[in-house]
Amino acid sequence: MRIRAFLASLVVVGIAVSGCGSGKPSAPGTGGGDGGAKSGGRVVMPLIADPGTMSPLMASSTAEVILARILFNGLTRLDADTFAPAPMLATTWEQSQDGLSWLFHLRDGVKWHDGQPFTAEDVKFSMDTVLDPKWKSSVGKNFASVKSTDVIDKLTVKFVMKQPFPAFPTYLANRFQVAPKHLLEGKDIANDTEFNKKKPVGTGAFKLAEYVPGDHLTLVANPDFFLGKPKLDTVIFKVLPDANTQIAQLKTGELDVVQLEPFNIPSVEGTKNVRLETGYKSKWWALHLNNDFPLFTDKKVRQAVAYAINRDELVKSVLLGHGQPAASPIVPLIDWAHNPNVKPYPYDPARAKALLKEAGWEDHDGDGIIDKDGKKFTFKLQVIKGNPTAEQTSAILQQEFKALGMDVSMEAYEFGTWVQEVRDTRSGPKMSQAYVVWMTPEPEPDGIYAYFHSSNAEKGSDFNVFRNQEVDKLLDEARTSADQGKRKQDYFRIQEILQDEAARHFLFYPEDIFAVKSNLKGIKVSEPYQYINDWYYQ
Amino acid sequence: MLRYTIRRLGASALVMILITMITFAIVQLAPGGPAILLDEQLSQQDRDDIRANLGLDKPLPVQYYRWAKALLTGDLGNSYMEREPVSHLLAQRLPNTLILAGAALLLAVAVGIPAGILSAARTHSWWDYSFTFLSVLGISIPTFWFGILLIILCSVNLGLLPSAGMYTLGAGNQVGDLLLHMVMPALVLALSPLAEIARYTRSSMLNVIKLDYIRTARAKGVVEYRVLFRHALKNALIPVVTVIGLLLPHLVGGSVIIEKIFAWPGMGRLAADAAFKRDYPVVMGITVVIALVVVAGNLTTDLLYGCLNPRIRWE
Repeated sequence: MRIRAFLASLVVVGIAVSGCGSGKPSAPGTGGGDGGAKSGGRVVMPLIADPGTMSPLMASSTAEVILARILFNGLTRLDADTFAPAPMLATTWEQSQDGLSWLFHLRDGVKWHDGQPFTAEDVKFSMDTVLDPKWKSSVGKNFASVKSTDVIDKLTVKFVMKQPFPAFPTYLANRFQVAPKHLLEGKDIANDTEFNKKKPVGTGAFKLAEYVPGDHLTLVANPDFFLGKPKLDTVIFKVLPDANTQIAQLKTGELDVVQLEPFNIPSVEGTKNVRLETGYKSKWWALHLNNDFPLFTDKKVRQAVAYAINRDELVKSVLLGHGQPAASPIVPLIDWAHNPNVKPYPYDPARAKALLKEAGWEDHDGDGIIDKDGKKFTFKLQVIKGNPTAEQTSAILQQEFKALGMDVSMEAYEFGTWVQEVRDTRSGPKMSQAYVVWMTPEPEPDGIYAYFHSSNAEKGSDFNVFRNQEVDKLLDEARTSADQGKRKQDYFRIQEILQDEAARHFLFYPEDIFAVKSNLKGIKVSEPYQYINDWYYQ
Repeated sequence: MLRYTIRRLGASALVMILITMITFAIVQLAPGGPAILLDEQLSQQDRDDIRANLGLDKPLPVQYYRWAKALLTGDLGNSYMEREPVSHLLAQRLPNTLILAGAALLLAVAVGIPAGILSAARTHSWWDYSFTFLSVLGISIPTFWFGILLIILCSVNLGLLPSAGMYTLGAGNQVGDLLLHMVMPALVLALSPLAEIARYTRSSMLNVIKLDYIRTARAKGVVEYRVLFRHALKNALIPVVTVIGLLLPHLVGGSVIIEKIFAWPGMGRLAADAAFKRDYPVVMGITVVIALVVVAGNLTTDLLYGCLNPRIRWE
């Protein structure tokens, strides 16, 4: 007994010493490996920016969403392999026959970090809050179809819907985490610094121990977590805005997990004790041509552009192979709704040229640029500054389009300016023209509604102003139908139309890439944070 | 001296007002609005509501008047993104920036002035040439590149220094730990001011050394180091003090990139984030602080000038 205590104190001293001063690789507190899974240890990860709030009801930035998913829980979470909704704070749920209400049965015995019991009241309070226009919560916009939330008993809650919404449990998983009513009722939800910045109280696997703004957040394991005490003791987020610094700290061993952009892979490869973990999410990159921009109103022109893109080459040179060519906005992982018959447009410049010729675009005056009725084919690729994937892809596309005789220039915008002057300027003389950007629809086929329904063409996520009555009708039907077979048919048809119309030019599905300490296991790349209780050191 | 001081103070106040006015206008006229308005789901009505809530629907002069009036009572407003009073954010970040800037200034002066004197005393020696070369290098090396290079060398390859942050996690806030973390960022931040101070000291010393009274001092047999440090340095320092005054804003406000690379939780990073997100109150709050430093720096320089050179007072 005495020897064990002595050894334990040695370990403590060891950690304290290795944590002191020198920037040398410090052991993550696990000691040497003997092969098996061990509990304990700490993981240090970067966070690109400070969270403006830690309240899940107000979360919107990347940092805020990550923290909301660790400190708090939703009623459901997504299965990391199939993206199907799986139990979390709710154990079971059912939809009524008419699809107009959902009943959720909550897990018994769940406690908030302060020891208070979690109940249906908290769920109602949270849903009411995110839907209250007073708070302008960006969480609420995903749940516009919820009419009311009723507490049936302590552990049962009923959502009454305005219209059927079969995707509801999926949306709940990613976009809705429950906050404690007993701490927030009657408070200024948006500005309550005490809860939002200092002492967020959730049900999650980890709870906040310390937050030094601009520096780090320390999270410690919640021993009463309802899925069992997490295997790690501590999770530390360092606020590190610079990607190069993150990589340097990974190499020195100061960080254990870093998410990488493909172009950073070479600088990490060969680092000792670091391996790459990759996985797909519901994410695609596309070239957005404003369908209202005079050059692009012609379907033949849009199709010609589609044939002019070498997607395999983009995957190879921009993603360094970490991805696959894309053909549809419903990612292959959602296998029941992804239409396998819709294939990416093949790279066929000759076909592209022929289509342009059919549309009347030829180089009549011999200046190397195609023209029609005296007007030259001239447009701008409007690039977001500082995003290497967007910049590299745009540069390659520019070359490919130039080869067809198009006069393409590139113009770079700082992000905020780009949003306002390009993405959200969809009509008028300064309307957006063409840009490359990524999209992350909800991992449910209904996730594409926002991107292709014409009601989102003026405001909303139909950024390239695609309007198609048939697609609108199918999207509406599939959204509100409780019949999975019917929904599948609708989504298959939608993907065919999008393909034929060349509405958006899907480029590739990228992999998410994490560089991870070799002995750190259990990370699910597609949904890392909601499964953080499963991370462990070997 | 009193009249001189009062005149300088009045000018400083005027400069402060002009700086805040111009910044206020520039920030608001910059393309792209506050990031909170960028959500694509917001309708025009939502946007108008938010703008009205923030008072952004009023004409610019009215907005400035409101802001300035609040400032006089010490209220810098609330950050749009952080949803906290700007004064809280500044209180968290400013000390960290001052620590770093202070260390860099100390380094720049402590190394720059002696190096300049030495260069002047041994003109056209190998020491002079190599220092000239290093100075030019120091002024022209981009800080982001030099910073990353240092991290790769000292942290990744040699493992000598911690790569970023202010303190080692979980080790408590020890002064020694802080100093280790400060070595690289302070060095990078000090590099260009150090080079400038050295160059100014050198040329100013060379000018002074040519003067008659120095030749007289040497002629009467005063030892060389006394000639340099007692007789020459005092007069040679006047332009150097001016330069240091001008470098202050560079040290306090110019550490944006360095704070980002070295993850230093200071004001520079806050400023950059706020500028990108068009968080107007934060941008203005930081402007006020930096402007105050600049104005105070210039004021001190002017007054010190008066002390160092009695002729200036009677201008």
